Amino acid sequence: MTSDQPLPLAAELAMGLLQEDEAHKAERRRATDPAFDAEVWWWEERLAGCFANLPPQKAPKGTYDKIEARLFGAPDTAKAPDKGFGWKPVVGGIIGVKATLLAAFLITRALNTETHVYDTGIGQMTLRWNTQSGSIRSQSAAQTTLHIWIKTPTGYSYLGNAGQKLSLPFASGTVLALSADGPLSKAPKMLAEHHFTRED
Amino acid sequence: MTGQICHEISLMATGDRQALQRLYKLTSERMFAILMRILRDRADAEDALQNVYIKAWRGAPSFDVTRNGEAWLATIARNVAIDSLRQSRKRLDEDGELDMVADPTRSTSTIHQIRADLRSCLATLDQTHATAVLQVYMYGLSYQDVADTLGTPLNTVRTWLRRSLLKLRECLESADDL
Repeated sequence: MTSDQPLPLAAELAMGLLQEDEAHKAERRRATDPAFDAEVWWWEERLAGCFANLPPQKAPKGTYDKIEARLFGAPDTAKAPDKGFGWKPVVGGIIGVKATLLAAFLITRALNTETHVYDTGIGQMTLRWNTQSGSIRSQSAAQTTLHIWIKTPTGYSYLGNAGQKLSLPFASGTVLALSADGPLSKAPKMLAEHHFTRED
Repeated sequence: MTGQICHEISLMATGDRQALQRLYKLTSERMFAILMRILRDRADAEDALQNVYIKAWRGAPSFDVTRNGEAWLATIARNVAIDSLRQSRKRLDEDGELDMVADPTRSTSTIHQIRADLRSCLATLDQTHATAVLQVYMYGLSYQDVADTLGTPLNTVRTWLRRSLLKLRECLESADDL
C-alpha cells in the first residue's frame, strides 16, 4: 500500500470525515455489503482503542431508570402480569399510512396461548402469544423481513425481527407495531398495531 | 468480560430487558468515562449515556456476536458524543481547551489511555500527523477544523490525514499478523 492510494471510504466513515449525505449513503451500504461492513468495523474496533485505558467514572444515579423509561415507558407498566389475571389482546386501529394493510384474525385460543394472523399487505404474519408468561413468538411469510416495535410515549422502540421469540411481559396498554423498516430506521412506517388490554 | 458483554447483547436482541440492565452494570462506568472525555460536561454526558444504551438496545439485533462487544459499545458512545458536540455547536476551543486538543499526544494522561498497539502505531507517525488523526476521531473535528486549529492549509491537512491513516492501517495490520 502506498500513500498515493485513495483513503478508503470505510476509514472516512469510521473517522467521521464524511459529509452527512455521504455518511448516510455509506451507512446504508453497510447494511447490504458485508465486506464493506467488515472493513468499517476493522477501523471502528481499532480506533476504539483510543479510549481503552480511560479510568472508569461512575455514572449519575438514576440514569438507568431514565433509559428504561425512555425505552419501555413508566416502570410500573413494564411489570409482568400478576398470576391469575387473564390477558386478552385486542386488535387496535390501523395507522393511517397504508390503511388497507392490516387485517388481524384470532384463529385459535388454546390453554395459555392465542394465535393471531396479520395480513400486512406484503404477506401474512402469525403471532403466538403465551398469555401466562407474556412472551410472543412470531412467524412471517411476508415478502420482506418484518420488524416488531413497542410503542413508547415518544415514538417506537425496536424489539426484534419477526421470527424471534420476544420474552417481554406485555402489560395492559402495551402497543406493538409492525414495520418493514429495520432497527436503524429513525421514522419507521408502521403497517399494523396490536393493543394489549387487561381482561376485566 | 468481552464474552459476557457479547452474551448480554445477544440476549438483548431477543428482547431480554434484564440483559440490558446487566450490560449497563458491566459497562456504564467505562462508557461514561468516554463521554466525559469527549463532552467534558456531566449533564451532557448523562444525556449521551442514555442515548448510548437506547441505541445499543435498538442495534442489538444487528450485532455480530463474533465481534468485540466493548468496542462496539465504545463506538456507539463515541458517535453519540460527537453528534452531541456537533448539534450543540460546542467547540472545545470555546472552553479554553485548545492547547490540549491541539496536541493530545503531549498529554501524558491521554497517550496512556490509548491501547498499546494503537499507541505504538501512532508513534510511527509524525507527531503533528498523529495529532490530526486523534483530533478527528476523539473530538469529531472536520478537515477544516483541524486546518483552522493548526493554522495549516486545508489541502495539506487532507494529505496528512490520508497518508497517516494509510500508514496507520499498514502498521495495525502488521500488529494483527503478529
